[in-house]
Amino acid sequence: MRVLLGQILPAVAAVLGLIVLWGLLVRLPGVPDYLLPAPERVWAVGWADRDLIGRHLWATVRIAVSGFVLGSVLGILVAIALTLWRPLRAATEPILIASQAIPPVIFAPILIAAMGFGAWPKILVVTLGAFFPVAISAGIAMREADRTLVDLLTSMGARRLTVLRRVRLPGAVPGIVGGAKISASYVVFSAIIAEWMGSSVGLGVYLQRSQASYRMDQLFAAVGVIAVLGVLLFWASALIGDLVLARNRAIAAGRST
Amino acid sequence: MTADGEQHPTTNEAGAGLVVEHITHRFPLPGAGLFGRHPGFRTVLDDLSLTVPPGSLTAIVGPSGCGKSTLLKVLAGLLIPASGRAEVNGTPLIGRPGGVAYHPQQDALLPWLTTLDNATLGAEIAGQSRAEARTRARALLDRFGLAGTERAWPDELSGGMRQRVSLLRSSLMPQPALLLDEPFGALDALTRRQLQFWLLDITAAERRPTLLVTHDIEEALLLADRVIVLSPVPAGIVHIEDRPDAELRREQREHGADHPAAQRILAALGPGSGT
Ligand SMILES: Nc1ncnc2c1ncn2[C@@H]1O[C@H](COP(=O)(O)OP(=O)(O)OP(=O)(O)O)[C@@H](O)[C@H]1O
Ligand SMILES: [Mg+2]
Repeated sequence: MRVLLGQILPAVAAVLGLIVLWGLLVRLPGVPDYLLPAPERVWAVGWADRDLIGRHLWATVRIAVSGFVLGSVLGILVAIALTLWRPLRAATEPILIASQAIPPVIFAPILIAAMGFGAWPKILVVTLGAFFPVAISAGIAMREADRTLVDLLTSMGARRLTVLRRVRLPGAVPGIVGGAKISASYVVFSAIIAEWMGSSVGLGVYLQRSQASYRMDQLFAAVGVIAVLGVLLFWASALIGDLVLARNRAIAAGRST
Repeated sequence: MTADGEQHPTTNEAGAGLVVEHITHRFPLPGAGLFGRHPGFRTVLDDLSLTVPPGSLTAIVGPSGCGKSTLLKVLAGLLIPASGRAEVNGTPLIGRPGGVAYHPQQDALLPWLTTLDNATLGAEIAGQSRAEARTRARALLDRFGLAGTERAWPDELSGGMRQRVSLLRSSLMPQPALLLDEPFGALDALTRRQLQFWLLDITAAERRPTLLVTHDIEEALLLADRVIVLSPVPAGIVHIEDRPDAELRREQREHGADHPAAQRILAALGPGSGT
């Protein structure tokens, strides 16, 4: 109830305000309908096309969520590897950073050409974008772990892997959650780009077709769906993150060995 | 009043116990290493040597910042000294963490472990079975005033409780020597007295050489077979006070008869020393 009042209501109010503003804007003289369709028409077109949009939406959700999960896991594994082997970190960090500087529009077609029109090349594009924030924030959190705790474990004769498992990893959970939230806000974007570059299904395909046929109303309807999807995915990841943080101690305490 | 060497258990074969020889340690001065230039070092431990026989407790007192914790970190394998040797029962300690049971000055509890899991951590890492360590920990919870807190998180404990969990953890570790850095600092008088007697008991029973850093001279006089007084930084030994056996020390304490020893230690610490 408090979440509803405190978080959702103001957000909904702000969005409604923007839509009203948009509705007023299109009624100004000199704003052509084919460039900026009225919100009520976008809604009507989107509602009429809901079956088709739903099918494309489902494809996009699958790719975005799969890529997010894979990317987060990969990010944690990369962070662990780079924390354990410092030379590996020195060697690969520039490559990892470079991989983020290359826009997905460049490597998406290559992946699609190599792996076909199935879901995998698109999931891979999303994964590549999602793993980075997790790898960076998890890596920083693991390397900057509480010095006194690391010293304590070291003085007990713990090996590096034990220090990682008992101190660095549990201490990095807030960092991992933070990185995953950033990733979650990117995955819809990456999924749409991947679909746009070559696919037979997905919101990216729907967008591309609407644009090719100058259907601005359809395009805006899809944009609305994408915006809502992005927010929902972010909220879901934030919610899961809060649950993980709340159970962090309990999970660590309940572990075996 | 002062005992001589005969009265504490020195009848051991060569190499037994904790042997520390000529330890010198330097810290780089702030800013060292910047642009590859070293403005220099500060010597914190200056050629320190001491021996703690099995079953014996040596207390270290000295002004704040003189290097007591640094010495224990060196022996715990966390700092590599510029020179010197240290071994316990013939096993070298320098640069080899895991050789001693070490209680750091800050009670470093893992925030994501309960009291019981924190208490058994050191024993587990030393390779003991979790079940066995838990049994031994449970048996001591009462004596440590921790009954009923075994499932509590560290942030639910008071400062004194945290310190006791930390002490319990070090004492459950199986290593052949015990190094305690101000383990009773945050305790109330009653609990402190209780755990002091407990420490006397286990030192006698387990026969582990024990090194105790403390600011409390009365505590040192009650618990230690030998009290070592360190100078201000760089720490060197300025006085050694050998003590009678534990039974006599308890009696002396009851009759306030350890005053002369306390006077000698205070004199060695020097006027205006903060201890
Ligand atoms: N990591 C470090 N780098 C540089 N100097 C240090 C470091 N650790 C300690 N020192 C310095 O070494 C000296 C000895 O510190 P240490 O912690 O051993 O003192 P102490 O005798 O344990 O003091 P206290 O009784 O207050 O605990 C101090 O002057 C401190 O400033
Ligand atoms: Mg200290």
